[in-house]
Amino acid sequence: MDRFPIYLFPPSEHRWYVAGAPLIGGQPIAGPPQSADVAAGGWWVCEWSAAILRTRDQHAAWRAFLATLNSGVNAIEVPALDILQPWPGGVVPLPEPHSDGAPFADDSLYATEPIVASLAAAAYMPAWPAPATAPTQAQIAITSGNALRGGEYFSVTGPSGMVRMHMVCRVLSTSGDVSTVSLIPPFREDMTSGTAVDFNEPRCTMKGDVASIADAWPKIQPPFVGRPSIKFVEAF
Amino acid sequence: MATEAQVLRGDRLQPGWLMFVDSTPAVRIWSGAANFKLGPCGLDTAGGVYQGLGLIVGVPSLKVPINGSFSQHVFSLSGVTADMMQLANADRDAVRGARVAWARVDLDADGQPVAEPVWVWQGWVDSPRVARDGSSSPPTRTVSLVTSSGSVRRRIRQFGYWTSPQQRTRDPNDSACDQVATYAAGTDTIWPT
Repeated sequence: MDRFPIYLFPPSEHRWYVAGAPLIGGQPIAGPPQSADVAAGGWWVCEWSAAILRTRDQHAAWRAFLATLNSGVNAIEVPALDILQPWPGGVVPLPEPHSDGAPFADDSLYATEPIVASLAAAAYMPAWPAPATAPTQAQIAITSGNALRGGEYFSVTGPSGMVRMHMVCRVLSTSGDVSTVSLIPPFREDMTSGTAVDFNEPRCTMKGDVASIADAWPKIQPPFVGRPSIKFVEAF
Repeated sequence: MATEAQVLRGDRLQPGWLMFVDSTPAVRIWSGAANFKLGPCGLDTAGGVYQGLGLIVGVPSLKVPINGSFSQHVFSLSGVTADMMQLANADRDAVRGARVAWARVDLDADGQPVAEPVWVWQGWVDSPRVARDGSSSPPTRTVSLVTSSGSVRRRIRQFGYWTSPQQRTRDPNDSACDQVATYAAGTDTIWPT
């Protein structure tokens, strides 16, 4: 599946949120209205606002990317641009050269995935009869990386091959390198114990929002600058 | 885990609605995002995965027949996906007459069902319809399931009219309805004239 090249298109504004389907019961005489949510946890929405396209390569890549979106029919993987990950030592790791400062022959540097984590127990999608743990709970073992604090994005790839993003909501307990956490949104599929948890580049299977896809085609301003916005919604 | 009574007493409800059409293949959709896996439960004797996110467009208020009066319900489903067009076109005959059932499941704050889904309504599909609304932007396409509730089906019997051809089909020599065609529709005959 194609991946949205976020570093090619720096946005002016950018946000992720979990959308839901709330219902309220009308305004009572006193007090707040009753509320309910029928979306059972909601779905991810990503807004990528006013990306700055200046160079020829950026323009060409953006157009090619929109063509692969196919008006929002095709699904792609959208990575989350984030710095809150549990990086080892708390700092974002940079690629390293050789000990004498020299890079490889093609100018690349040593790079490994700094955070290594996996599910320490099976996780479940919403179901009846109710499974052993709630669909918003997971046990995550972090063998390399800092402790979880809440607010971190991560992604898991289920048996169907679709990659899904979740966010740590609360750390319920920690035992050794295993943290039991609550998360949003609920798991989309049953996950087996040992499934890799990706904190390095969390991403989600999404598609372009059909209602606003026309705004994603850039209006070119002189000299040759475009500032398109695009909105992604989680694809199922 | 909260009990059902505790969840219903609070004002933060998280209900999910499950719709089950007992056709071949069965149609299972629900109101939530992503999927919901239901084991054998109530009217859905086989169980299966209920698909979510944006498939249900409209649900009318559900009525049950009382004293012989019956109602028609039209459930609107998002008709963009291949599954729904399959339902409306290729599987049309399989869907007609199939049982439709609705269940409600209450989820607690962790998204875990607090009790077995409650089957609240059942009916039968009369016919699926496809509607396209080009005036909205972008245009919408929906599949409607016209259903009837209870034990009443919205269908007239084969000989349901007082007309001569139907009467003569019952009995070739019966001329009782021969003059029916002379009655003008929409006029009242005053008696005595």
